[in-house]
Amino acid sequence: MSVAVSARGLRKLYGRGVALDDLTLDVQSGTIAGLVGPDGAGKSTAIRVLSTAVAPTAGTARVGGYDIRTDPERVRSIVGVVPQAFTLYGDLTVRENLDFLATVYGVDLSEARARSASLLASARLVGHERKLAGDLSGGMKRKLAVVSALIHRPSILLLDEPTAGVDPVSRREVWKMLGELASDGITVVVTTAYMDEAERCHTVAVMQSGRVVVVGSPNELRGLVRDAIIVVTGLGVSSAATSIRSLPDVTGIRVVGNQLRVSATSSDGAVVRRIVSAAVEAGVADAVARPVTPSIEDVFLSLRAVGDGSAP
Amino acid sequence: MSWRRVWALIVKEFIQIRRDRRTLAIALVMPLMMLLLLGYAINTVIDHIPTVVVDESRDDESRSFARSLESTTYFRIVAYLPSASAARSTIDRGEAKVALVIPPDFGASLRAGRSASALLLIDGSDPNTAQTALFAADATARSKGAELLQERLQRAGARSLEQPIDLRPNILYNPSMRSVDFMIPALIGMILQLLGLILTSFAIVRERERGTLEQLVVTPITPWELMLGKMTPYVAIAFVDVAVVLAVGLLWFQVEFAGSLALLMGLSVIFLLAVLGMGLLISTVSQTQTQAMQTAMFVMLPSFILSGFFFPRESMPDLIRYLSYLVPLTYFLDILRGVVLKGSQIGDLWGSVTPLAVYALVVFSASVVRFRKSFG
Repeated sequence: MSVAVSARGLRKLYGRGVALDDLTLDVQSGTIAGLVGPDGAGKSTAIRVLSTAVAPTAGTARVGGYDIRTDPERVRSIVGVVPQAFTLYGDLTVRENLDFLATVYGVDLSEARARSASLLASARLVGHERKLAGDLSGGMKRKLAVVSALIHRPSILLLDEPTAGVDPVSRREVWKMLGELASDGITVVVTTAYMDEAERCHTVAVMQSGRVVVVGSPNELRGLVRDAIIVVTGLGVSSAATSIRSLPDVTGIRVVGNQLRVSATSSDGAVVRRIVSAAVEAGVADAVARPVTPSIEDVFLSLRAVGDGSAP
Repeated sequence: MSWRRVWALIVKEFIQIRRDRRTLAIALVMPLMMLLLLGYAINTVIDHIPTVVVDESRDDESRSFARSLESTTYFRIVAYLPSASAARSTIDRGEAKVALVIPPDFGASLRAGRSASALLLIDGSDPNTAQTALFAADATARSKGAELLQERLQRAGARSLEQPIDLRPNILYNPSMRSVDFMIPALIGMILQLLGLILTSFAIVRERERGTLEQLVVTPITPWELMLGKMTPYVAIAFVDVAVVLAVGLLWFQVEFAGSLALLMGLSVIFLLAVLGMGLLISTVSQTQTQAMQTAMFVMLPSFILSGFFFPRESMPDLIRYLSYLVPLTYFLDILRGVVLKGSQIGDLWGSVTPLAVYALVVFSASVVRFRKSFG
């Protein structure tokens, strides 16, 4: 496998603000790399710099073998970009948008038609070609954005939060498309704030304050979480949070939906039993606790706690 | 430079224009509307001023004087009133602009060979009308007076007398002095400025405002291609509009086109470069179409006043007239009116063409540099 995207010390300043501090990252061809992190971590700036929309203040990157600083035109011709906002023409139909981009990228129109037909099919957008792009639903717009970014057969696809604010079905469809692209050999770099989406990436780079804090496969990242994660469920379980937090082995606790995710120094039977009895004492009669494998979100939170200087 | 990409941008722009009613209205309806308004509503030649007459003399002399006022066509007698106070109140109410009050002894004085006086009341709220009324009435009184003087001298035994000064006016260009002939060439300047400046800057800023520019900058489109692709559709529309305005002006309003159409079109291109340059500059300093509109208005409104579009520049104070040389429309209006009305050749027009060309060159190059920085 070769390296499709390779960033070295990328830095971007806007005025006095540091949007991207030091991005160093390698992405192998045909894999999905996820940039994960909170708002303001520099994920979008990373995509904008890699896609040559803005020039970096310092550092450089090779995208598809071309230098983004010295060869932006070449980079643009082999990269497909899906910006965070909807950037297609709302007053053009789906077909007109695709034809426009195909011509701009120098794709032969009959080839573009054939290509867009199969792309629209895989995005389940067939039958909407004559609609104005602005009239599509939010999820359809996102899928159309992915389709248009692929019209010129890019070898690398850069996406900035392609599923933000999209319904679960469309989210799944977008990720299914990304998976298919990767298996076709296309390199995908995608930012997301959803931790469950990070699990679908081959490589995850956790970003914070404009830097990559840690890079690895989802499994490697899970190995970084020293604590065990124990999920506690039961009717009104959130009321037991305070008493569970005060147990000696418990290092952290958070409420996720109608369950508690407890981090503890170990997940052996004694610890689990103590957590259950604490919950029952707090009035959760049907409390159940079970150890689980850490999610990327757990990884993220434990890294963040380290970054904040507080104990995980 | 890829002409394919420029073409793609042009096609896209035309589709968007077709779907945007406001742009369509500005591009296609506005020029014709302005043409009809300027053709019919604006008439800078003042005549048939509504006039009332108070004739207290009631004899041949008084009636003849009132008639001679009316026969100048500057005045239209709308009523005969019994008293000066009644005449005054019709002026107050705005029903008449002028009142002629002839005192009871008017005819008797003339017959007796004495000087007779009459009173002329003029509504001065519109200075142009008042001035015209004053000059026309004064001229009438003088020529009537000269006529009477001649009669008296003849009766006293003098042989036929001749006017000592015989003025023979010969009006060159637009001999019937119609306002529409003056306005229609200027309208061409207005349309080119409107389309070149407003629509072009809007079309570019719209990409930024709607976020579509973010997509464009990551495609292989270069700033040059974007610029050409954005300008070409509006330049094409501008020339179609110019053709329509010229055709309607010549065929419907019977404006006589004295000069060369090719020269007019060629010089229009220079002016268009200047306004496109201003449009580009506006697009680089505006984030939204609202901002672009405000900036464009800031540039355009003074230019209509300063350029002599509505008011002759000759009557402006020196300082304002110097300011008018900063406005490219000033030179272009001179060129337009020269070519259309006077049949001026390029040799007659260098005085306007040279500064316009310098202006176009400077503004357009500056705008291209800025545009490349801002959209590169």
